[in-house]
This record gives sequence, C-alpha cells and structure tokens, in this order.
Amino acid sequence: MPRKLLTDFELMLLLAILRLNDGAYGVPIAREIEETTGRRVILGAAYTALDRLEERGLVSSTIGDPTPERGGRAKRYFSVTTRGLRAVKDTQRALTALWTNVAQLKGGIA
Amino acid sequence: MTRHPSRLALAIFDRFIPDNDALRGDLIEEFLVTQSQWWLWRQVLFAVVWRSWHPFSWRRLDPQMIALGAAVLVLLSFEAVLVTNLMNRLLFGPSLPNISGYWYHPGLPPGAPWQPLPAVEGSAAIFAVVVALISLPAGWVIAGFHRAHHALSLVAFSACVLLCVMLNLHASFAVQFFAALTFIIGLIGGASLNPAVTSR
Repeated sequence: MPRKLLTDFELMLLLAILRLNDGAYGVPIAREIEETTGRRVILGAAYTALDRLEERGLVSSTIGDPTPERGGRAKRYFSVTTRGLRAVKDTQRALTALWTNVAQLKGGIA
Repeated sequence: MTRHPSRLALAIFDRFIPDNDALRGDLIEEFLVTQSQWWLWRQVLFAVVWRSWHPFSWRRLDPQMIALGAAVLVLLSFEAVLVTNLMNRLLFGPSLPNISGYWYHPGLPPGAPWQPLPAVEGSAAIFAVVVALISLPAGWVIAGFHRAHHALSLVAFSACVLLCVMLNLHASFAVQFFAALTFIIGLIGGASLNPAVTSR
C-alpha cells in the first residue's frame, strides 16, 4: 500500500511540536516555524491543519486552563502520536532519498 | 500604552468561528506582543476565509443537503430576477396587473433594443431595500440547513445568485449589481439571525 506522505506544512507543524516538547500550542508552534524557516504562519491555517492531523491520528490535543491574558480562553496543547512520528520518519526517508545524488545540489549549501 | 485588540475583528471572529476558543486566545495573546491591529485583522480575515473553505470533507458530504442546496439556489435565482424585474415594472412601467411576460421592456416595440431609463439608475436604493428584506428569510433558511458549512454555503449561493442576476436581467449593470449585492448582504444578515448558527 503506498505511503501517504506529509505535506510541507504538515511536516513543519509536526516537527515544530516535536521540537517544543511540552508547551506546544498555537502561538509557540507558529513562532517556531517562523523563526526556523522564515515562513509566515496564519494561526487559523495552522489550526485547520492540526485538526486534520488529529483526525488522522497523527497528533493529539489537550485543553489547558484558561488564563486572563488570553481573554479567559484556554490553550490547546498538541503532541505527536506514535503514528505521527512514523509519518514524519517516512516523509524524512522519502525526501532524503529524493535529495540524494542531485547534481545541482552538490557542493553544499550556499 | 497597551492597546486593546479590535473589538470588531474579534466580533467577526466570534460570528464565523464560534467554536475555537484556543485560536481566539492565541490571537489575543500574540496581539499583546505585536500590538498590531493590522496583524490581528489579517489573522482574523484569513481564519474566517480558511474556515469557510477548508472544513469540507468529502466523506461527510450529504447528498440530501446538496439536493436541497440546488433547489434553494434555483428558488433564490428566480426570486432575485423576479423581484428586480417586478420592482422595475412597478416603479417605471404600466400598473399591475398588466404584466406581460417576464422581461420588462419599457414602452418599446418587441424586438427593439432595450434602452435604460434614466430614472432606473437613481432608484437603485429602492431596489436595495426591497431585495434586502426579501433575502433575509432566504439567508435564514440557508444557514439553518447548512450548519456545518454555513459560511461556505452563503458564499456559494451568493456568487451563483449574482451570476444569475447578471446574466438574466435587462436592467442597467449598476442596478443589477447593486440589487444583487444587497440581496447577498441580506442573505448574510439573515443567516446571522438564525439561532442554529448563533448557538453553535
């Protein structure tokens, strides 16, 4: 059965969650991606993608306590599931295989 | 001085995305850091548009809702064209019940090219009020039957109605457009009044 690889944004989200360990909710996830990749993140788009990842069983979420600084709204913490980790590794393997022996990319990063 | 996030932006967010407290909290938290209303507005508008276009799941598609949506669309198109033509005749044509045919040609012989009446251009406001009032219940019904995708449904219906009005009417473009636009605004306003939407 062909493996379903992650899209670039999904991969970034999962990697950001893994890098953050505990404390991975919307704002730090978006910041992690922006600071690391330079890509601007729309929080609404991130949540939509995270909802889909959760539907697929690649992430799970828990609701934290509401805080007054957030207008009394609670944070939603995300974590990568075992299945999600496997998807990240599969995507990494596929991309690494594609990157290997590409003549135009030889010579290191400019 | 600490600025407050735009109340209007948050109200729009609450209207269209009432079930994502975490995102709302994130927007407020990040606004307190960026202090940028422009950033907040961009985030809210993108979130609303994204939510309207991306909750769609083919597996959850309901054939009955599609059929109902198609039926409502036909009725809405008929309503939009009929109302605008009828009002045009009531205001500028012969008195009722002398309505012959569906298209209104003011005093011209059959087959002659249609000429717009100068008065029609200035009476778009009258069309606007009537069309908006009639479209409110239509929007209320649409929102009630398309709870999961009410924003997407309204946008789709509005776009199709606008297209139908543009293609079928012989009034001037300005009148057509203005009437259709107020119809669409009425649709959205009607949807917001539907308790099924507001209580989600």
